Amino acid sequence: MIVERLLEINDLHFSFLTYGGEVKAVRGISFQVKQGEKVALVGESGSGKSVTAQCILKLNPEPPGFLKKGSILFDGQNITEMNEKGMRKIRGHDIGMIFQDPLTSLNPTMKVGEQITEGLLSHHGFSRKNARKRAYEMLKMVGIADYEKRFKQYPYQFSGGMKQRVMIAIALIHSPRLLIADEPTTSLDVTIEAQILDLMDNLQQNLKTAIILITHDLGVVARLCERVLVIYGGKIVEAGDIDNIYYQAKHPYTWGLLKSIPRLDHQKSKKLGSIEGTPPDLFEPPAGCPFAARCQYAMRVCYQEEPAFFPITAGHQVACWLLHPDAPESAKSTNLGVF
Amino acid sequence: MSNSSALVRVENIKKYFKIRKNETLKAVDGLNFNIDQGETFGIVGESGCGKSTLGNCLVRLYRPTAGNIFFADREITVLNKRDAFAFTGQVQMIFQNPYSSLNPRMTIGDLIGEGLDLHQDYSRAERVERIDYLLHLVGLDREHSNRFPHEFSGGQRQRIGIARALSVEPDFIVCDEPVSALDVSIQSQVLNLIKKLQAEMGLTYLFISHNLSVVKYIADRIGVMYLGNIVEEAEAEKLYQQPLHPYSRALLSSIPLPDPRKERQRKRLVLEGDVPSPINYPACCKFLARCSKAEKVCGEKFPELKEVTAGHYVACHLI
Repeated sequence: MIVERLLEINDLHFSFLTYGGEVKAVRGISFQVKQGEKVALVGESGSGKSVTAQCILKLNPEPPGFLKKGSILFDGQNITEMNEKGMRKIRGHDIGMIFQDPLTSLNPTMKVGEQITEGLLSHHGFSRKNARKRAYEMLKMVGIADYEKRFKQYPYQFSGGMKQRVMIAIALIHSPRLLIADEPTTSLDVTIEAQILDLMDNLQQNLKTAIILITHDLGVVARLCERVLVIYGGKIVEAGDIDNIYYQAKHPYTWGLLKSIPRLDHQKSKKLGSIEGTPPDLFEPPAGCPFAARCQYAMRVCYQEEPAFFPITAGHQVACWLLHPDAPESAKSTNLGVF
Repeated sequence: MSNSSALVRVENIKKYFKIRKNETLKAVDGLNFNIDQGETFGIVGESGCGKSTLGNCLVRLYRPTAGNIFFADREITVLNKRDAFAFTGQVQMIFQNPYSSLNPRMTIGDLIGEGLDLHQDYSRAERVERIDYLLHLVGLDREHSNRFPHEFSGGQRQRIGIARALSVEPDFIVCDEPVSALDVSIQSQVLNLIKKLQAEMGLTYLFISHNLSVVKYIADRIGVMYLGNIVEEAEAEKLYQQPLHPYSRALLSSIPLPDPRKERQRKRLVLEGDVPSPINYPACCKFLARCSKAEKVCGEKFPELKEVTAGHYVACHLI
C-alpha cells in the first residue's frame, strides 16, 4: 500500500526532566513528509531539530525524556503508541538513520562487514552468504572500492568520509522508505562533503527514499532539499519550498539566518548581518513568539501571544505576527535588501 | 616575496613528526609567506593539511624542524627565556574550541587578568578597570567577570577567549578556526567582532579555517594548503574569481552555496577519493592522486610555488 503521506507529525511536544527542571525541547511541531520527498529541518543547536528526528525513531532516552503530547504517524501507524518490539521492526527496516558523527557511531570492536550485515542476519533471516552478497552490493553502491577487503576491516582503518559511507550503507541496506540524516556532513571536509551529498542525491533518485535532512548549513540544504522547515526554540517558524525560503522568506529569523552566512559573492566592505542575542531558555520558554527577544520588528503582541501560522502561498507558511492584517505596514514591507 | 616591511616572515619552515623508525609525518613541508602589518592572512585547507601545525609554530607552541620565522625582523624559532616571555606579550592565539580552551575553575576576570598579571604591573583598581574595558570591548558585561566559564554559551566563551588574547595588547593574533564550533547566527557576531577589533587596534591576523566562505569574508590574502604545502596564494578576491590550481578549483566548487537557483545550474568538480596519508610521501606533486589533469611530470618532481601574475602564486607544473 502506497500512502501519499509517508510521515505525519501532529503537534509534537517533547520534554526532558532534569535537575534544573523541565527542558521543553520540542513545543508543538507538526509537519508531513511525502513519499520520496527531500525535507530539511534547519535550526541552530538546541532548537529541537535532532530531538524531533529522534522522536520519529523513539531514540530519545526515556526517562529523562518524555512525550507530552502529539502523534507521529508513519505509513498510517501511530509510532508514539508502539512498543519497543514494534519499533525494532521499523528502525532500520522502514526508517534508516545516519548519525552526525561517523567517527563514533560505528562499533570500534566489530568488523565493518559484521556491522553492515547485523540487521539482515537478525531480522530478515538472510543466510551469511546472501547477507555478505547484499553488503558487497551496498558498499559498491556507496562508492567504496576494494569492498571485499574493506568488508573484513575495522572502523579505525577507514577515513571519516569512508566511515560516513559505511553509515549510509548500513542505513540503506534494507531499502528504507524514509532516511533521517542528522547533520551527515558536518564533521567532514568540503571535498568529502560534496561526494557524500552527491551520493545521497543519487541514492534518493534511484531508490525513491524520502529524506529528512537535519542541518544548520543552508548551503547543504540548497544543494539537496526541496522543502525546508525552519525551527527555532522548539517550534517551526517558517515552512516552505526551497525557493520560498531562500528568495521570499517572511520570518525575521529566516532573514537573519540568510544574512549571517558569509557568501562567496559577499562584498568585503559590507558588514556581515548577524542576529544579536542568544536563543531562548527552554526551561522557561517565552509565552509569545520564541524569537521576539532577538527580533528587531517585535511588537507587543509578539511577547504575549504565540503567533499563528499565516499561509502565504500553498505550502509556504509563516508563524509571525508581522503577517497579521493589522500589523504596521512599515515592518511588513521590510524585506531582504541584500538579496 | 622578500618584503622586509612585513611583520611576520615565514621562510621555508618545516615541521616533521617522527612516528616510527622509518616513518616521518611531514605536517608542514616548506612554507614561505609574509604577513604585512595590519593585514589578515587566511589559510584554508582540509583537515590534516597542516594548517594548525603552522599556527602552533607561529606562536612557538611547536618548534619547527627547519626554517625561520621572523617576527618584526627578529628570528623567533630560537629565543632565550627572557625573549620568549616578551614574545608572548606580542603574539597571541584564539583557539578553536571555546569549551576546552578556558580553565573551568577560573573566573572570567582571572582568565582575562592572567596575561595582565604576567606582563603588566597594574594596581588592583587598574586591573579591574582594564578587565572591565576588555569585557566591554568584546561585547560582554562587567558583571560577567565573577562568573565561571560553564555559565556562558559558546559564542560568549569565544568572546572571552578573544578578550584573553587581547589583554596583553598583542600585535599579531593567530586565529585557529575561531568560529567553526559556533552556530551561524553567533558565528557572524564573532566574525564581525574580530574584524571590528582589527580596524580599531591595527591588529595583524593569521586566520586559519576550513570554511572558505568565512576566510573570504575576513582575509585580505589567502594561502590554500594541501598536505603541508601552500599550493596557491593570492588576494582573496582574485583567488575566488580566478583559482588556478586544480585543488583550489575543486575546493571552491565543492562548497554548497546557500542559493538554490545557483546550486541547480552549477557544474561541480567533485574530487575523487580522500586526502592521502602525509606519512613518507614521495617527492612529487602531492595532489597527483586526486588530480584530473595530472601528467607525467607531476609524478617526477615537486612543483615549486611560482608567481603567475603579480601577487598570485601557484604550485603546479601545468600552469
